Formats: sequence, C-alpha cells, structure tokens
Amino acid sequence: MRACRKRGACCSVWRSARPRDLRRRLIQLVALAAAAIAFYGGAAAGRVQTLAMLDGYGQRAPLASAAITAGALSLMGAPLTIGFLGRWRLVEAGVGAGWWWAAGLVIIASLAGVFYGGRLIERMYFRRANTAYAGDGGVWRVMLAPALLAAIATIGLGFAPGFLLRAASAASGMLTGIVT
Amino acid sequence: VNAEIALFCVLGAPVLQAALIMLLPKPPGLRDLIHIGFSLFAAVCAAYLANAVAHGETARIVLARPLPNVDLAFAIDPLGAMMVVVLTGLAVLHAVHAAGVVRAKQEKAPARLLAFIALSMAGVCAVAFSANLFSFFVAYQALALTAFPLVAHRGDEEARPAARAFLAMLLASSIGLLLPAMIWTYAIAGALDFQAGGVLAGRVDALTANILLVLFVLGIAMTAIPPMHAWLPASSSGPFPALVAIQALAVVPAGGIGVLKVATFVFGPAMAEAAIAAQALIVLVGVGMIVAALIALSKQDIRERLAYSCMAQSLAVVMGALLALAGGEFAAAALFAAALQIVSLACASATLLMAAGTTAAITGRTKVADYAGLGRVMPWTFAGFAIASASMIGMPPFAGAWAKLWLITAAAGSGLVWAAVLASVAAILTFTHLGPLAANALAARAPTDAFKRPDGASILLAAPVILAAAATLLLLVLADSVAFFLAPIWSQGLVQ
Repeated sequence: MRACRKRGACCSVWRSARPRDLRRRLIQLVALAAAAIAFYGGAAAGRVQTLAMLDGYGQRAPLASAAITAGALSLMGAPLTIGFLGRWRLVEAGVGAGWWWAAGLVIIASLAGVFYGGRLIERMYFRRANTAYAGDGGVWRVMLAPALLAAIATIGLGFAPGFLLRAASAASGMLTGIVT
Repeated sequence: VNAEIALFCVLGAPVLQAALIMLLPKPPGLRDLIHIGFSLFAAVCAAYLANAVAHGETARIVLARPLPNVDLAFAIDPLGAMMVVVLTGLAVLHAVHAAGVVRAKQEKAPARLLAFIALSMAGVCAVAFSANLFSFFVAYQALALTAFPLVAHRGDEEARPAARAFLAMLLASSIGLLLPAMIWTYAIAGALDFQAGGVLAGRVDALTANILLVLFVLGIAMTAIPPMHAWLPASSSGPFPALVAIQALAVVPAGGIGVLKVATFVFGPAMAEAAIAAQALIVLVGVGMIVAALIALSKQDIRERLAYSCMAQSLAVVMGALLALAGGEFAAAALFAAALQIVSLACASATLLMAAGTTAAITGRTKVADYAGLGRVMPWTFAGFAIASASMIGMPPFAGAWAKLWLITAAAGSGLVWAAVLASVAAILTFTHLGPLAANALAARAPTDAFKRPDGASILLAAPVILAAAATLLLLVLADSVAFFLAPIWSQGLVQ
C-alpha cells in the first residue's frame, strides 16, 4: 500500500523534468512532504499496519484521522490544500509548454488519488471498526504532534501560499545556479 | 458594507445552522426550530441581496488567495442573486416539510440529515455567488462532498454503493474535465474572474474554443448530462428530504447555474467560435432529454421516475445555455430561457418530490400504480402534484411554460429548428410520464385504506407542497421584472 502510493506521487513530481520548471517541482515536493508526514504520522500514531485496521478509525482516534484526512486530501489534490497548488502548477506548465501528455498524466494521477484517497476516508469514517483491531487503537501522543502540525501546514499553505512561492523561487534560483 | 454582511450571512448561516443542529439534536422541537429559523434568515438575506443588486450595489468578499491573480472570492450579480432568492425561498418550505417527514417517518439520525441539507444549501449559494472559476470549482466540489452523506444517509447495502457512484462520478468528471478546462482558461486569459461579455471573448481560436466548451459542459456533471448522468438515478434511493435537496434545491440547480455562468461569463454571448461544439452538444442534450423522458415512463417507482424526469428538465437548461453559443442572434433569449428553466425546475421538482415524500410518509406508497385515487383523500398534496406536473410538462400559465416557450423561440430563431423539435418532443414525453399519473391520482376512485394513521397528513407536510406549487404561478406576473433584472449580464456582451 505504501510503496504504490509513494511511487504514484513521485512520478508526478518528476514528470515535467525541465530545469525551469524546478520551482513548480519544489512546491510539489513540499506539498508531498507535508502530506506524507500528516498521512504516515497519523497512521503510525495509532500503529496502523493494514488498510483494514483503518475501519472506524475516525471514532477511535479523531485527531489522528483528521491528520490522515488532511494528508489524503492533499495527495488527492483537493482545492485549498497545498497539493492542489502543486497540481495546478504542473498542469499549467504542461499546457503552457504544449506538453499535453504531461498535463494529461498529472490529471490522471489526480484521479487515481481521488480513488485511493476516497477509499481511505470512507474506511475511516463510514465503516464500523473491525473487532479484531478495535482493542489496540491506543494513540501515541508524541507521534501525533508532528502529524497534526503537518496537517495544519497542508491546509494553511493551501490558503496562503505566498510564503512558500517566494521560498520556492529562491531555492530554485540557488539550485539552478549549482547545476549550471 | 451591508450587502457584504448579507452575502457573508447567506454563505455562513447554513454552516452555523448545520453545526447547531448537530450540537443540539434534542429536543426535536428545538432542532426543527433552528433548521426552519436559519433557513428563513438565509432567505431574508438573499432577498436583501437581490434588492441591493437591483439598486446597482456591488459586494465582494475574499476569503483566501491561493494563486496569483486568483482569489477564493464571492460576489453578487443578477444571475446569482435571482437563483439564490428562489432556492433559499424554496429551502424554507422544504425545511418545514423535512421537519414533518422526519417526524412522520421516524427517520434515523434526523439531525445529520437536516445538517447536511443545510450544508448543501451553503454549497449551492457559494456556487451561485462564486466570483471566478476557481471559487466555482471549490464550491462545486464542496457541494458534491456535502451531498454525499445525503445519498449515503441510510447506510445500508443499497445506499453505500449508490453514494460511492454519486461521489466518484461527480468528482471524477470535475477533476478530469473541469479542472483542465479551468487551468487552460487561466493559461490563456491570465485570470479566471467571471465578467459580463466573457473572459475568453476575442482571445481564443476556434479549435481551442470548441475543445474548452466540451470540457466545461461535460465536466459540470451536476447537470446530469449524458454520459455523466448515472449519479442522478443512483442517488434516487435516498430519503425524500435528501432527494429534494439533491434534485430541486442544491445539486441539479448548481449544475445548471454552473453551465449558465460558463456560457455567460467565460465564453460570452458574442462568442461564435465554439459553434460546432455547441451544436454537437445540443444534439447530445436534445437526444438525452428524449431518452431520459422515455426511461422515466418505464420506471414504476416514483423516485426513479422523478429522477429521470428531473434529468430531462435539467438538460433543457444546458440546451438553453448552449444555444447562446451556437452563433445565432437569439443568444440573450436562449440564456434567459436557461435561467427561467432553472427557476421553474427548482419550483416544480421541489413540489413533486415533497408531494411524493408526503405520500410516502402518510400512506407508505412509492409505486406509481398505487397512486390511483390518492388525490381524493389528500386533495392539497395532489393539487400541488398536478400543478407541478403541468409546470414540468410546460403547460401555461405555469413557470415551465415560459421557459419552454423562450427555449423553442431561441432555437427556432437561431435557425436550429431541429433543436426546437427535440425540445418539443421531450415536452410531449414528459406529459406521457407525468400527466396520466397526476390525472389518475385525482380522478380514480379513492382507496379505502389509504392512511397508515387515521389523521392523515399534518399541516407541516401539506402546506409546503401547495405553497411551492403556487410559486410556479409567480412567473406569470414577474416574468417582465425578471427579464429586466437579468438583462445587464448579457446585454453587455452583445453590445461589444
């Protein structure tokens, strides 16, 4: 489960691999990092190992589930999350450069994200807890803190990304300076 | 400033309403009072906004700026204000009716049902007042997400796959088609703001315009345009209050408003480049209307029949919006027809579904064949049902007639006589699936054991139906002022 999710996400980062699109890819990387921390942190805090363990997680561990939901929404590219900004930039770059296939692939990756992210959220909130796992759902609170911070960043940066955009252009300026 | 506060209230009050209902689910009296009271408050704010628009005031609220040149912003314009007045007004009647239905049927988790009805009203108001394509997209997706629990409400083996199909189809089409169209528009125009005359006017070549139109129209799947229509019949298994919210007040009207906004503010009525795609899509929706009306005739469950009937009416909205882009001189008439069609669909569909909901709650009957003679024991409910059927069919003097008249006039005037014929055939087929049903309910012999309980329908269940039916008569006196009210949004595009 984890491997395939990670691969799908990374592909969309490196898809339009051209130097001047570095800024866009950096944004997408930050987006992915924030989403992934929220996502795995939330899951690890409740020691979730298989998808079936997420059944009814929303009632057992509401905060951890909220972090996972924020991460999943961002990976899906839902609007007003940082993931949306990354997707938008990639598609815009693809359309602007006439790379229709690249824009199409990003959209398809988003659609795939909707399906796996949607299933995850459905499991957490719309299914009853599996009795086999319901007992050991104790949440590890220290682990939860970074996950929640990342979840807040995922949403907060989606609303006001000005800071991130500036940081990304500075960083891409530095990096392209090193490369060339 | 007052208009801005009112705009904020229209968008925010339903959210507060939902939170309060969830926090105070008991006693039921308080819960229903909150639901009805807040709905009334939203309707009053909407009326204030319409008045402000009529006096030339503007209001705009910006919530966030997620992209350069793109705000999450909401603003008032004549089209949005008119739709919100109609929808929030009907929502008050529906709030009363929903309170009656959850009592009579003892629906489980009534607070959740009412809360998500309130949230979906916030969604459709946000769609109607969205100031740019991005805000529209956000509001559209939020609406799809808040309507999902309405479809999934019963949580059984029937409801869960239906809800999944509902959400998958609406989200997939909006992300797969609407999102690329929006980003493409942004790449061409550098902005996404809705403006009279069209963002794209004079900026695109014919090929791009045609592709963009197809992406936009198919991407806004809330209009139930084939082949993206499966969510509508799938959702028809939900409880009746949820069906009214989906088909009459929130989801389907949001689709119509979206297509109308795209035609008016993104392409603009003077746009002739997209004529080929517009005509091809008119064929699609025209044939879709006829097929949907035929399928409705074959359905014996009243909920399924009304879902397909609603689909046929909703496609008429799309036809009106597309006729404006087909390159004729009747663009303004076509857009006016589409706007009237949204209003008449909302009134008639809300009436029909509320009448069917009353019938199901009081008599337990949902099959078409079981409706015979019920009008004799439930005269008010079935008077409303008959009036709304007449409006759906397009019989004067009810609202649907004026919408149909303008639509056919615009089609014939644009030289697309075949489109006028398709719309007329769909109207005749609508008669075959609603007319005999209503007549039979009123005229056949009364069944002896109609009611589950001896006292029949309470005032909560009967009054909203007849009042909503009466609303279809309002256009008879208001059509002129509505045309005058809406005129600024498309006359500007035509003068240029």
